[in-house]
Amino acid sequence: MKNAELLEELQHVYAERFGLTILITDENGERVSTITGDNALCGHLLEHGDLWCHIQEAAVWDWEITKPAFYDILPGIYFLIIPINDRNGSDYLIWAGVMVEEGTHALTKEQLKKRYGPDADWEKLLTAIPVIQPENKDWWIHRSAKLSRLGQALLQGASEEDSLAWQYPLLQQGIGTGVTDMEELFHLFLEKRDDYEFIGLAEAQEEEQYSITHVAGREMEGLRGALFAPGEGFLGRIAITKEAAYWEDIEKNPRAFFFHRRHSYPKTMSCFPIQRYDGTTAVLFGGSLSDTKVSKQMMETGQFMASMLEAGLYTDDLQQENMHQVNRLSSLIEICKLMAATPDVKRILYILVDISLNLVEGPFTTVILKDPDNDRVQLVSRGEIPASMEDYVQEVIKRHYKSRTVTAAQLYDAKWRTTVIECPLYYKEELLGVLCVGAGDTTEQQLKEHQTFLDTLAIIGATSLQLAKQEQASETAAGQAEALYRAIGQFDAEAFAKAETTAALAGDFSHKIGLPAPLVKDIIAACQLSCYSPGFLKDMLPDSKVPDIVEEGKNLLQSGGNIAWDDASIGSQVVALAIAQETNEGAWHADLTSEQGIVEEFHSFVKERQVSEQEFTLQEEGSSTPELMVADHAVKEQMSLSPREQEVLELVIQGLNNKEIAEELYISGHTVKNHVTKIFQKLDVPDRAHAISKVYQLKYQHSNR
Amino acid sequence: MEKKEALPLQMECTMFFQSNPYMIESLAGLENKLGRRKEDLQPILEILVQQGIIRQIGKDSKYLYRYKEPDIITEMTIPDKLESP
Repeated sequence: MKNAELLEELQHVYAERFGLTILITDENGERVSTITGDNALCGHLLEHGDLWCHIQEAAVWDWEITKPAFYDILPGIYFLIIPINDRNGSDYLIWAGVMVEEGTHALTKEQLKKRYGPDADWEKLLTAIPVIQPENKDWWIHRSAKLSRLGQALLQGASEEDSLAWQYPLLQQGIGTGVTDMEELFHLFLEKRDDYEFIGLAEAQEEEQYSITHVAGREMEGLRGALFAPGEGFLGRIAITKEAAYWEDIEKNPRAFFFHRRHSYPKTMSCFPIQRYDGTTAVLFGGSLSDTKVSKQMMETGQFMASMLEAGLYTDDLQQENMHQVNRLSSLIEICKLMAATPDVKRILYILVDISLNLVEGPFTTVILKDPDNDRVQLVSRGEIPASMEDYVQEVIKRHYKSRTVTAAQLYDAKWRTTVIECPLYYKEELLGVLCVGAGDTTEQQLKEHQTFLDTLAIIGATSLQLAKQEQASETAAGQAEALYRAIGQFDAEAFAKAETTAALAGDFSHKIGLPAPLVKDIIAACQLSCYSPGFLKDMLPDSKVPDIVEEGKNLLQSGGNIAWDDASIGSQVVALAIAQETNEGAWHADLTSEQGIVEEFHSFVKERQVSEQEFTLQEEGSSTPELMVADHAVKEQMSLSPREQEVLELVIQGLNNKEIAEELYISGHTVKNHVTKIFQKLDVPDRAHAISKVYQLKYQHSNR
Repeated sequence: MEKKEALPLQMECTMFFQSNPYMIESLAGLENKLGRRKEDLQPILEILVQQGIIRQIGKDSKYLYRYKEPDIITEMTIPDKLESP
């Protein structure tokens, strides 16, 4: 018994005050306290007589008293019987005695003598104990009722502590409850709580149906997997009302037939709703197979269990959700990789349409592409295209192409009663198309998730589309350049041969100094086409950089040309050097003011090449395309360039001349020149080619560390 | 919940068919090529057929599957009336 110490103290106080001996027994007649007080007769009879046997005998009777009562345990000898009920239903009795009734003194003495012999000084013992008089009877009862209440208060306090004690191991188990150890938790619950004899959980399944997923307790196995509809029976009712309820004495309740059919015969049923993360309601149910009543405490216990499960399942659901998000993310990454590697506009559109349909599973999905130059519209779609599609397309064009205010995925209610997630495909300022995905029957939560996913898909889709378009355009340009070059061979074999060697020389040299692959291609094309006038090339290849390189390269070769050597792009410089080498046999270098940097390097390259032509051919075959960007953080730091200088250097590497850099960065040509000079100083190089070569070296050293 | 779990595999299958638009493959062949179990693939293929992303050819459980290209409509012309408010 908890609070025993306090109870004992209470016994002491009362015993002393009333001159009684006090002890407490439980339902089984066992003494659960010490014996306190020094009532002489009581002490004597306990020690020498059979008083304890009489107490034990009477203690197991069903007293059914709520107030203290007098009980003559021996003829003329009284005990006050004070009941204490604790909330759990266990009963205790406080025995306070002994007393003698007024006027029965002599008779009692005789009885005692007769029963226990004449040896004891019965007279003395009897006079030392309190006397019950008709007028003080109520007083005794009133006083001992107070003792009863105090005792009860102490025991209840203890029982509340007990109730926490059963909750603790459940909480420990419940926190990590996955679906798998749910039944272990239920068993633990039944072990700790005698008032519940079975417990189970019903969860929402698809199509408005519930299924009992977990059970524990006697007669319950048949219920596992049982299905019911919301509103049906005890459990179905809770699924609809979403409020806890209980039913008592249900053996003959028609609703209990659901259980009877499955060989389970509950007498009470307590049900508690549990809100799940996905918006559904699960039902926790439990009760007794023997008791027909549901106590307040049972409901509290059940509510506690339901709250704990709600928290546990929520955590579980969130963990799963988290895993799904990770899955979705990795799928998205795979899709990104595929789109980035797909140079084909058509396939990217297919990916957008297919993946959107995979994800949303709505009635339709389509990409709407409008030709910017006219009113023609192209649709790539899957699913059922409604008859009113044309009207819808007009709306989309109006919303996205005309107003240009929508930049992220938005929801629209289409006329044919479905929500459509519309994602504009923007690349920078350019609207490339609109991905429209019909959502069908989806919850708000799902819609939100889809929106985020599709938004990301649209961003990657737009970028990939733009890249694919650019690649297609550059392939076309490369095809045209190739045609022009081969045309030279048809009319002027000598010029063709020269262009070929010039291009080979420039290509080899560009590789050697580590220029990026696209620039090397342009340099080679510029050398191949150098016999055409730059004006003609600009007409033929309007989107290509090659005509500019040819023009600038030729300008550099003219004495008194309109561009200074240091201002020109690296591509033009290489082209100029290669053309000069092939046409003037190296005589041109005298025109230059300085004989350092790239020029010097080019000349030594030419010399080496003459000696070991073979070796270079081999090298060229084996050489991989150098990727030359200053993106590497460590390299950037090592060069101690300002962010702006880094930007300028990036553009220098990409082969832009000073004027082009100025246009790209929106700064004056003078500023660019300053930046370029500073970069050369910081890197301790004389010119562009060496700057690039230096970056290449640093990057190489760094990556080999 | 189940649908969410199947989504990555569903996307993987879609991408596989799309990357090989001329491939005609049986369930066993796909099992081999994708390194996935038949039991996992079967429901996914059913969904994809339902979504119209792939076509099911043959009968009597000896089905073959191939990619079905989306519809492309190029005829639609949006008139100038849009310009007016």
